[in-house]
Amino acid sequence: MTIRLSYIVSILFSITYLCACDLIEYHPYDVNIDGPTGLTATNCALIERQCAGKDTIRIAHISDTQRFYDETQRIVRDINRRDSIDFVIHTGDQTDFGLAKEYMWMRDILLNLKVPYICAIGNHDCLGTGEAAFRRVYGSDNFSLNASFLHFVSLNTNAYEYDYSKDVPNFSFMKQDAASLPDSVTATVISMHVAPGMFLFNDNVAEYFDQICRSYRGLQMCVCGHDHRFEVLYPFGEDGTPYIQCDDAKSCSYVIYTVTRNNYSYEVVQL
Amino acid sequence: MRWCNYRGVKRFSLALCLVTLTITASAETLGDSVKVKPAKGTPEYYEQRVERYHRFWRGLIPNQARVQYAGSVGAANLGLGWHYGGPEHRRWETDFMLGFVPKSSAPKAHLTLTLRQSYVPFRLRLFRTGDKIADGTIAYEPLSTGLIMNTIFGKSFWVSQPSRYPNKYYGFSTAVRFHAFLGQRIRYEIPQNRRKYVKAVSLCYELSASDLYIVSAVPNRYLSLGDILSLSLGIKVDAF
Repeated sequence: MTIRLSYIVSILFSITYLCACDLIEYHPYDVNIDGPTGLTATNCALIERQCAGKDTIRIAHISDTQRFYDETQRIVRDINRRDSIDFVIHTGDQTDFGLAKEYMWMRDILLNLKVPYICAIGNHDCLGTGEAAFRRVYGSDNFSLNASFLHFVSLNTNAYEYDYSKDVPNFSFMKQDAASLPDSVTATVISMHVAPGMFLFNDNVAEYFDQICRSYRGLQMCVCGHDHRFEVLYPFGEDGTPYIQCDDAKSCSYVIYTVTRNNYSYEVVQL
Repeated sequence: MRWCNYRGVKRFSLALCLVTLTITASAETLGDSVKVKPAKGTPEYYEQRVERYHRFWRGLIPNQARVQYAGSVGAANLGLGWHYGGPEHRRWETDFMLGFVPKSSAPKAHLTLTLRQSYVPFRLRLFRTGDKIADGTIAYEPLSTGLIMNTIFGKSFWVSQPSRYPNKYYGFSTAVRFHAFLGQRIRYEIPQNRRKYVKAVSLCYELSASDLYIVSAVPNRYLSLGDILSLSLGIKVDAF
C-alpha cells in the first residue's frame, strides 16, 4: 500500500511542478500579459533621450513578422551587429491570430534588440482581443515622438478591420499632432501598416489622409508593410509622397533608413 | 396446402428463427427484457413502445459532471456529460462545459462553450479502503486523451470571417478552437453504503495544446513544447 501511495504522491508533486511552469492559461484570447508592458511610452522616451542633438538618425524597419519567429530572431541578431542604428520600427502584423501569447513571444524576441523599438498595429494584430493585447503590451495605436530634428509618427490605418465604423485613420490625432510640432523639428516620417491604395485602407478618405500627412513639417516619406514584399509605392502619383514598403520577416529582409535634416536614403538588407 | 409440406415447414421455421434472433439481438442491444414483440394493437405493444421511449430518453441523462480550472477553454468551467462504452461503460466520455474567461486587460469578460471527447483506455486498481467488495476503491487512470472543441462568445470573434473580406482572406476562425490533450486521473469509488449523490469522484489533470499554437510551434525552433502546453485541473463526479 505504501508503494502505491508513492504513485499518488509523485503525481501530486508533478502537478505542482507543472503549475509552477507557467502552464496555466484561461483562453488563447485571454489578454493576460506577463512581463514588460507599456513598451511604446518607455521606448519613445528612450529614443527621444538617446537621439537628442543628433544630425543623422538611422532607423531599421521590420514588418510582418507573424509566425516567423526564427527568421525574426535572425533579423534581430543582424540589427544588433550594427552599431549605427538608433531605433527599430515594426510596421505591424507581429501576430497572425491576435493571440496574447503571440504578442509575448514576439515581444521577447524584439526585447533582445540593443536599441529601443516601437510598433504600429497591423490588421492581424486586431483580430479577436488582439487590439486590447496590443494596447497592454505597447500602448496607443496612434503615437508620435521627436528624435532630435525628426518627428516620427505611427498610425493605425487598418480601417477595414473596424468596418469603417471607427476613426481609423484618426484625423483629429494627426491634425493635432501636426499642429503641435516643436521648433526643433525639421523632418517628419510617418509609419503605418496598410498604405493608401490597399483595400484594408479606407480609400475613400485617402486624398484627405495625404493632405494631412503633407501638412506635417518636412514630410520626407511614409513607411508601411502588409504586402509581404519590398516596394516603393507612389499612391498619389510620382510627385506625391513615397511609401516605402518593407518585406516580411519570412524572407529575412529589412530596410535601414538614414534620415538627415533635409534628406533621406534607404538600404534594403537581405540576409 | 402446398406450403404445409416438409420443405415448407423447414423454411418457415428457419425464417421464424431468424426473425426471433434479430428481435432478441436488437432487444438485447437496447437492454430489453421483453423478448417477444407483442402484436400491434395490444396493450403490451403500447407499453413496450412507452418503455422503449423511456429507455431512449433515460440514456440521454448525463451521468457525470465536471468542474475544471484553466486549460485554455476558460478560467472556471462547469460541465455535464456521459461516460459509455468499454468495461463499466467508462472507456469513452463526452462532455459539454460552460466556461468563463475573466476580463483581464480586454474590454469585456467572455463566456465559452466546450465539447470534449475523451478516451480512457485503462485503469489500474491501486487499493481498496476496506476488505469488503462494497468498500471504496481507488483507481489510477494513467492515460486519458482526446479532443476539445471550444467556442468563445463575443462580438469580436467570428466562426468564419465576416462577408466583407475577400474569399479566404483569414483562413481560420477566431471563435472556434480545437485542442488535443493528454492527462491522468485518480478515481475514488465511494463505498456503496456511504453513497449519497455520487458514485465516484476523480481528480484529473490534463495538458493540452491548441491548434493555433501547434501551427505556430511546428515551423519555429524558437517555440518549445512548454510554450504551447496548457494545464487544466479538474474534478469529475460520476452520478451513476
